[in-house]
Amino acid sequence: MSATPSSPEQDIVVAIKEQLGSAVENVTALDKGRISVIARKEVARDVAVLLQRFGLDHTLAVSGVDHPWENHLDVVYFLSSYSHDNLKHVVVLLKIHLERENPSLPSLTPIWESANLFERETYEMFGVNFEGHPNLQKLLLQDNWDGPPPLKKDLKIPELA
Amino acid sequence: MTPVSAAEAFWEGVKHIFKRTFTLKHPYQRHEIPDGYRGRHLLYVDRCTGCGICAWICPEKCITMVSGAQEKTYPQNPQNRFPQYWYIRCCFCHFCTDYCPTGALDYTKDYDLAEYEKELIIWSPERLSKVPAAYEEYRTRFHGWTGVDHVPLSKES
Amino acid sequence: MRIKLKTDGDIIVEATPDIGYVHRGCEKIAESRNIIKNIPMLERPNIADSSHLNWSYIAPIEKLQRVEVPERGLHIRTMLCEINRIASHLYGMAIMGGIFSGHTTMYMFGFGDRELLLDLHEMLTGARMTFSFFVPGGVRRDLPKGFVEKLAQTLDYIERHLSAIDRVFVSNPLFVERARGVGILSKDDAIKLGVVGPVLRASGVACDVRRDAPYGVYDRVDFEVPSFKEGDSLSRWLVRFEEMKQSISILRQLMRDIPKGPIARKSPLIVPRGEAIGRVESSRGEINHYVVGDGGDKPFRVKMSTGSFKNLAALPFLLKGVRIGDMPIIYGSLDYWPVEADR
Repeated sequence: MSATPSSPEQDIVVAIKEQLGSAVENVTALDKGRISVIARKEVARDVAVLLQRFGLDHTLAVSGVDHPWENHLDVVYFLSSYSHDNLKHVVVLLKIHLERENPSLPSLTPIWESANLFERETYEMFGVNFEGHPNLQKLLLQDNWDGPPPLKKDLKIPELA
Repeated sequence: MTPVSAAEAFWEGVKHIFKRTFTLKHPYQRHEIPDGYRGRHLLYVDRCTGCGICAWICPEKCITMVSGAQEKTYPQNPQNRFPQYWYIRCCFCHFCTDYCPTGALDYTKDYDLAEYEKELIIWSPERLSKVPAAYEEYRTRFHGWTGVDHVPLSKES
Repeated sequence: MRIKLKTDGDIIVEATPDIGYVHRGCEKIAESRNIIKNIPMLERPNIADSSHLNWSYIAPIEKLQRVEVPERGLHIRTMLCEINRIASHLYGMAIMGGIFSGHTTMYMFGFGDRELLLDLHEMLTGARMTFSFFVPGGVRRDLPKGFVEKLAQTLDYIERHLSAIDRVFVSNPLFVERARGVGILSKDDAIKLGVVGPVLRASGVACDVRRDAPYGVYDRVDFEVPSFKEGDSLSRWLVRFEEMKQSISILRQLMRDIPKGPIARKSPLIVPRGEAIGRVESSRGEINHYVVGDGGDKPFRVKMSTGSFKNLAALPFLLKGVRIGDMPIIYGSLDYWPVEADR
């Protein structure tokens, strides 16, 4: 398209728009080396397979972000690459919007094994049910925890007196 | 492993028999602390305006502003408010010292803050404003069976 | 942290780590305190290596506030981080070589040499560990007089003592036979499990954030990223050993020409709307912080992803099929810090 050589981030953005353009809501290159992809949960697995084919082979983290005022709960996957030299400085944020009541999402552990423990933590902290996860149990909280998921904004902790 | 390398390895340990040991008989000999060490705080009562920024920035909420039981009131502090520290909670980050707008707090090298009574851990503004004594008159208390006499305290407490 | 083992005689059949005993809810508490008050809390998950946690939390906030740290501030930050890296590696090697394999001499060597580095910390920041030294915009104090000379003396001593450790320990068959060939992690498994830090570099993947996505002053210094091909416990130990030598060389280069100027810029006490990521290479692996801001002075969401948590995936994988006697060596070679993993 342009005469200047394109960076790997732009390659990824262009490829996602071409192949899954209608299903993916927003793909932007934030600043140098950061790409943000917002996808719906039905196409999450397809986007993940496409990104893995590009060479992004491990997750740096998986996190949940609760937006009670905008009425959605996000699950964000941070992806990077060990094997491709030109992608080592790139971090792709794969964000999936979910509803706040009983959120559930197909697990991406079969694609990236490194997301295993992070998805367990997101399950217990936000209540997100990952379908197809091999071992969805509590990781950090005590076994007899019966309160609401702690990191959602519904649980308010008292200020230190 | 050859005999030569085994002998070298043994020498690494044996040579310390002939060297000076680096043991300090605490509390009579103390390690020398550089300036700017983050010990307990020193309050300059003629600079504190009672604004409460130290209490606001403290991460552990260990500072409360109390009205000082001073005999005189200071012109820069009309409401007579001074900080009081609860040292059980203090993590010695000294954000209060750095963020004080008038420079009324300072670093000291006092780190022996242990007490026998729980109430003494709360340091009132008067106690905070006392300059720490030198180590010879330092506040230490030992049980009688160690054979160390009670070191006379300075005018604190 | 405890590990539940299912054994068949002497061979481990299945290992399940049970973590969460020191979980304090740092991420939840961080949403209710302003960004300065969070600094001492968020650097305490790893007290031996706290400056990296501090930098990784401050970096996304500076990116959102669009504040540029002056050159001298970046230089001082890099120096403190490298001194901290040497101290943390001495700690890790002392624990693995000293406690888990039973050689108390290595423990004493590691902790004794670390005291000199803690003295350097004390001279620069005022505290021995968990300094809370970086604030958004720069650092809190300037280099004191006599710091560079004392640093040079300490580095000379540590270099001589590293060769002593080499003679006593690395060529010692009692340690080498216990650690060689034990707990082998192949290159494909390392990439698949997503391990980081020295565990990754000992399996043949030479990735280091300081080289791939440089921050601070790392793009101006010359250093190598050591990596080995075997992927066993001995190479994980040796990677730390070599990294210490590289850190000494980085510090010698940084000491030579320290730029003049201010050490910090003023930064407002708000987190603007947006999100940012911090990536920092600490001694146990890569640390990431994800900060989401909403315009107030408290962060909306802070997500910490530390090296020990990522390396935890390797523990049940490596412990399958080994003897119980090899378990301490494998656990020690991962250099797992429970508080960092639990936050």
